[in-house]
Amino acid sequence: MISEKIERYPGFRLHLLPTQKFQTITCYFRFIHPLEKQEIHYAQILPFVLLQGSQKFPNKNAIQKELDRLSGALLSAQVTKRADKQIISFCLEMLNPKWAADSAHMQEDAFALLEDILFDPFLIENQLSSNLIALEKEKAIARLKGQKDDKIQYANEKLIENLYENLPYGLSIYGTEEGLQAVTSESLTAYYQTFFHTQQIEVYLLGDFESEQMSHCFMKYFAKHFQNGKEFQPFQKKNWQLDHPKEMVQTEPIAQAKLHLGFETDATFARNDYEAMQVCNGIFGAFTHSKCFLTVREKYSLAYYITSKLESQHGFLTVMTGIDAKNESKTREMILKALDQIQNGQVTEKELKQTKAALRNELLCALDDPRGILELSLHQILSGKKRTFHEWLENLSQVTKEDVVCVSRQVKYIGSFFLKGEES
Amino acid sequence: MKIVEISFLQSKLYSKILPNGLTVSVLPRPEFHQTYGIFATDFGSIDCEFIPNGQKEWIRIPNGTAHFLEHKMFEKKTGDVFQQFAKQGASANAYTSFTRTAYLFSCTDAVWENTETLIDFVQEPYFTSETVQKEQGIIGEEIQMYRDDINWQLYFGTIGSMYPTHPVQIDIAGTKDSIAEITTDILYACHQTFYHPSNMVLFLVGNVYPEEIIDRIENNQSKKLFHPTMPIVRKIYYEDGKVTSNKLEMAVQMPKMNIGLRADIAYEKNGGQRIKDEWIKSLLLYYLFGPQSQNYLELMEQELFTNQFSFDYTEERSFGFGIIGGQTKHPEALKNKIFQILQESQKGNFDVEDFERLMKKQHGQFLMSFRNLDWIANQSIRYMLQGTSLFEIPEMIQTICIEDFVTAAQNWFCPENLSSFTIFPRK
Repeated sequence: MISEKIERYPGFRLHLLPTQKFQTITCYFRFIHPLEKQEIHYAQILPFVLLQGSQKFPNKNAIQKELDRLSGALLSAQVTKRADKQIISFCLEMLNPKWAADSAHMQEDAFALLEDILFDPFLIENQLSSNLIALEKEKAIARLKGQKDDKIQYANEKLIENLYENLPYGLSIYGTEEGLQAVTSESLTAYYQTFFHTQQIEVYLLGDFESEQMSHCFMKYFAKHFQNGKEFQPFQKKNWQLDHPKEMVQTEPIAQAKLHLGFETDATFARNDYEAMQVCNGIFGAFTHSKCFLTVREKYSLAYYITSKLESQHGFLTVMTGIDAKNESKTREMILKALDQIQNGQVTEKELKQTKAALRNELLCALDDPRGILELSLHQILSGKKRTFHEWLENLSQVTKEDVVCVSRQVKYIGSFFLKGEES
Repeated sequence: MKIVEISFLQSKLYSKILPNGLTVSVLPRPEFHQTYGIFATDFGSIDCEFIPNGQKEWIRIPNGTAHFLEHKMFEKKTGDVFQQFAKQGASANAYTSFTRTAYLFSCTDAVWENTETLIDFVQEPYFTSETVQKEQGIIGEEIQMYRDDINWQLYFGTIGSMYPTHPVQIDIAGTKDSIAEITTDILYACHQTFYHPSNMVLFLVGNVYPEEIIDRIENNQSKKLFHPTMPIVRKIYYEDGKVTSNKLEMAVQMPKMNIGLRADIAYEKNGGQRIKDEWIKSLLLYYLFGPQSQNYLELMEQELFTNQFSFDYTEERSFGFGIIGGQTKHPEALKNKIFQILQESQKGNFDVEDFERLMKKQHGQFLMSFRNLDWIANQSIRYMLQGTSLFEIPEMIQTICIEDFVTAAQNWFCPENLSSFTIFPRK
C-alpha cells in the first residue's frame, strides 16, 4: 500500500507518494475554488492559453519540442467539478529519469518547464496574448456546443443542470457562449494575476523517488510562487425538497433514445454510511450483476447498456441507459421497481457478496494507476473526511444487508431527462 | 518454457506453447494488486468467408458474426458468465476488432479461479435459438447507439472511402438485418474453426506466480479434447476499388473531416517486418502533423481545425490505413493543406535533429505505457497473434532510420491513396 506524506507550506500542500510500482513520475497540480458563474468562463480558457506558450517557450511547438526532448513527457490541463467546487488541474507525467537514455537534469528541466508555463506566460505589453485568447475562446465554445455531439454526456449534463437549477452543482463547467465571448485580454490577465492567491492549491508527486530529495527539488522551483493560497470549507449538504419529480423530454434527430434518471442521497463521502451507499448503488445499477442490468438488458433485451453512478461528494445518483423510445415507460418502471425492491429488503446474499467483491476489486485496481491513487486522495481533501484506504476496505467488508436497506430508503427519485429521436 | 528478462520492468516474461497449440505468456508484476488476463483468437469482423474445420465447402457468414459470437459466449446453460466472474470478485469484458476477438478479466483475488473461468467459458460454446434471438435485441440496441456516435460514423465513413469492397469497411457489429440471419449452426462452425487453441493466445500480467499458473493452464488443457490442428483456410481480401471522397449529414454542431491514407501492405511479409512498417508510418505521421511540427502550427494559425485534431495509423493482415482529421470550419481548405503537406514530404527533406528528438520521445512514451497493465495485456496479445512480442518493440523501433521515412513518404502519399470523408451539420 502506498503511504502519503503531506507537507504543509505557506499557501499550498505538497503530497508525496513514493512508490516503485511505476516507471513514471507524476506531478499533479490541483487548483480548487468554489464554483461561480463568472469564474467558470475563465477556467475554460486560462489553463489552455498557458499551455500555448510561455516567455521561454513562446508557442505550442516550442513547448512540445521540449516535452519530446524530455523523453516524451506528457503535459495536460483539465477542468472538472465536484459538488460545489471547480478544479483546474495540470498534470505532468514523465519517464522516471532512472530509465531514460539521457537523464542528466531531466527532473529539473521538467520542473523548470512547468514553472515557466505557470508563472512566466507569454505576454504582449503585459497582457496575455489576445490572439491566443481568441483561439482558446473559440475552442471553448466548440467544446460547449460539441457537448451535444456526445448524447450520453449531454443527457447527463442536462439532467444535472435542470435538477439543480439554482445551486452551484447545477452550473455547467462549460459555461455559456455569452460568458465565454465576454472574456477579454484585460479580464483574463486580471484573473491570472490573482489566480494563485485565490485558489486552494494541492500538489502531488508520485513515483519511484526519495521523498526528501524530490521535495527539495520541487521547492527550488515552486516555493516562491505559492505564498497566499486559500483553504475552502468542504461541501455542506443542505436539505432541500422537490415537491414532485422533475421530468424533462427533449427531441433530437437521433436513432437511439437516452433515458437518464436522477436520485438524491445523503450518503456522501464525508459520512459514515458512504460505504453502505456504494454497495446499494452496486446492487441497484453499477455492475453487470446489478438489478437494473439483469432486468432491463438480460431479461427484456431493451438496452445494450444500463448503468448507475454515485457522485461521491454531492451524493447524486444517476441511472443511464440507451433504449428504443417506445420502451420509455416500461424501462422507467423497471428501474424504479429495482430501487423499490431494495427498499423493501429484497436483497440476496449473492447480490451483497458480488457487489462487495466488485467494489473491493475496483478500489484495489485504482491503486494500480497513478491517477487512481490521486483520485482517492482528492476524495479526502474535498470532503474533509479522513478515511485511510485500509479503513475504506474494512468498512466495505462490514456492510450488511440491513445497512443497505437502511441507506436505500434515503435514495429519492427527483427527476429524469429523456432525449428522444424525432421520428418517434 | 521460454524465459526472457525484461530489464526496465525488473521482471521476466514466461512463455510456452502447449501441446494443443495454445500460446501462453505470463508477466509477473508483484508490486501491483491486480491481475489482468486476456484470451484472444485470431478471428475478427473481416473474416467473412472460410472453410469450416472438418468440412470441404467455403461458407460466407453474415456481417457481424464474430461480434455476435463474442456476446453469445457469455451465456451458458448454468447462467451468465459475468455472474461467475462477479462472484469471484473479477470484472470481465470482451471486444471484437477487425482481426481479433478478445475476452478479458481483471481481478485482485482468486487469480486461478478467474483464469480457469476465462479459459473454460471461451472453450465451451453453448448456443440455442432462444438465446440467439434474445441477443438480436441487445445487439440491435448496440447498433442503434453507434448510429448516433459521430466519431464512429466518421471512422467507418473514412474506411469506406479507402476500401470500397474490402470487408474492413463493414461495421464490426453488422446491421440489424445481417445479424437476423445468424443461426446456432453458423456460430458453432465459427467456434470450431477459429477458437481452436492453435489459433489463440492467452496472456496474464500482474500479481501472479508464472510457473505455477502455466502448469495449471497446461493441466486444464490436457483434459480437453480438440480436433487436430489444421491450417485455417480463410479468404484473403485485396482491394481493387478506387478511393473516394464522401460526405454525410448528421446532427453535429460543426463539420468533422478525415483524410484517409490507404497503404499498400506487403502480404508476404512476416509479423516482425509488418510491425516495423506500421511503426515507420505512425512515426512519420507524428513527424509531419504532431504539435511539435511547423505544419501543426500553420494549420492552427490558419484556423483550419478547432478541436480534436488527430492522426493515427493502423495495419493488420490485409489492410493498412492512416487517418488525419478533426473538427473544422473549413473542411475543403484543411483537406487541401493536408494534401499539400503530404506532397511536400515526398521530396524527402527530413530534419535529422527533429527525427532524433522524435525517436527519443517515442522510446520514452513506449516505456511509460507499461504503467498500465491493461495496455500491456491488450498490446501483448496483438503482437503475439502476429507471431512477435511487445517486449521486442523498443529495440525494433531503434532500428528505424530517416531513410525509412523518405521511402514511406514516396510510396504512400500518392494521389491514388488519398481519400476524404466529411460529416456536415444537418440543414
